[in-house]
Amino acid sequence: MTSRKRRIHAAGILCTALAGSGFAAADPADGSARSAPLIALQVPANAMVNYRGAPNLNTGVGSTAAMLYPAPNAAAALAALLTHGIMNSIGQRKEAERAQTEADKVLEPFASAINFHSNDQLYRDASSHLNAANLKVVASSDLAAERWLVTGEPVVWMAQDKSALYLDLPVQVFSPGGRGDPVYGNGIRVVSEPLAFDGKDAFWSDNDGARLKSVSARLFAEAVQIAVDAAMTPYPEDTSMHRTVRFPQGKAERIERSQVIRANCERTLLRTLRGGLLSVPTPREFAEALPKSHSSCQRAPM
Amino acid sequence: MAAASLANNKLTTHVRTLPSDDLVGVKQTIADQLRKKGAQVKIIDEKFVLGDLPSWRAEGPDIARKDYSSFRAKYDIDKLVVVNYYMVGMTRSYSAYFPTSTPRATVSGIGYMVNLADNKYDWYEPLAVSRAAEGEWDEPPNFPGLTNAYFQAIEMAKDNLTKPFK
Repeated sequence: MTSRKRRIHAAGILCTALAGSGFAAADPADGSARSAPLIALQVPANAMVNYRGAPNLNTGVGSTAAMLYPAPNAAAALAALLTHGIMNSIGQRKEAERAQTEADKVLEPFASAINFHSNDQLYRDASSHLNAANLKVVASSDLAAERWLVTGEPVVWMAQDKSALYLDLPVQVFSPGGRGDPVYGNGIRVVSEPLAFDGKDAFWSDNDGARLKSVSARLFAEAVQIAVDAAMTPYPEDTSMHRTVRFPQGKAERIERSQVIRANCERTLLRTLRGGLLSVPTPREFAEALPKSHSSCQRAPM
Repeated sequence: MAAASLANNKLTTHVRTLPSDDLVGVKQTIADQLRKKGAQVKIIDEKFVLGDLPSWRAEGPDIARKDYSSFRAKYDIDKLVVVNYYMVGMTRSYSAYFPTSTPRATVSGIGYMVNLADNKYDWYEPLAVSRAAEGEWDEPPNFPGLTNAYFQAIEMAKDNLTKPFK
């Protein structure tokens, strides 16, 4: 391993240990000067943040309608079968589109805030939750060749009961000077902390959607932190450690079969069966199992 | 039927590797909950065939059709809780040769409590849990979306069966 890679590896280990406090640095093994990784966040080409309503995927079991095409001969019967198959596929696709359109209606009360929430603003707000000294928000990858580059367009989902947000980030991380293949790529999801949602739309829409924007920024910052940590120090993968994890998502409880990568009093990082990373509020059973020194941790309010 | 089996061969192979141990643990969970409420509980490992039981002498609302009274003397108990799983796996609806739904993780069965003094049901809970994969389902060989749905269905089935005893 070269000395340069060893410095980055040492910095990555401390990044993982101090997750949530921004990008940090460690004394490298070769005694060279301490240096923190320089990060650039590239704002996506799409100007506005992509907000979607989370659809409920488990409302139907499909139709068992009989085929209604009388066929006088084998050729006609085959044509009828193929038509029936195509109609079924089209029907299922239309149903999925209809379900998403219906789910997006949950965002209608917040349109005035969402329609003017730019990705540039989201990225800059997220920067305040990361080590700003090491972070630069850029519009183009050419502007930060000396830095680690993080790219990806986030999608913010609102639960149908409006009690939670979660953010999806299909992320790629490029090493300094390396703008060819990314050194890391993955799908990262971050679920919001339990919020004191009072059932009223004003919770999200007041002050031009201030809470909506601030929670989104916190989620995005967490996703970026996870991506950089994973790029610098890949998390071990052990399928024998899969377990069923229950965690809060707003007022609901979600279930995910996953590998637990790390857990502290606030957040637990999971690797899903698809290999994606999922950051969730730490379930009670995990928090109770942590050493007593963690028990005094307070959840950061969102 | 044959066409459907062939089309889903890879999924069938994978589902057969998935564990269902968590469902076996429901018995212990119910026993623990009953003990917390002050009941004396015996866990019966004997399996029985419902059809082998004689028919009960009367019919009516909440009356079990089969005669469970033999358990009273055999185990010295007043009530019998039964959890019976019909199916754990995947289901998919078809119309002729074509699927009309994506595969869904499914757990079906029944849970009930029979009062052995009068053969009446104190509790009767049909179980029909079905979960779709989130996102794409057709991802052989490990089908992660459907596998996740499978474990979600198992957890939901456990909840449905144990919640009345909390």
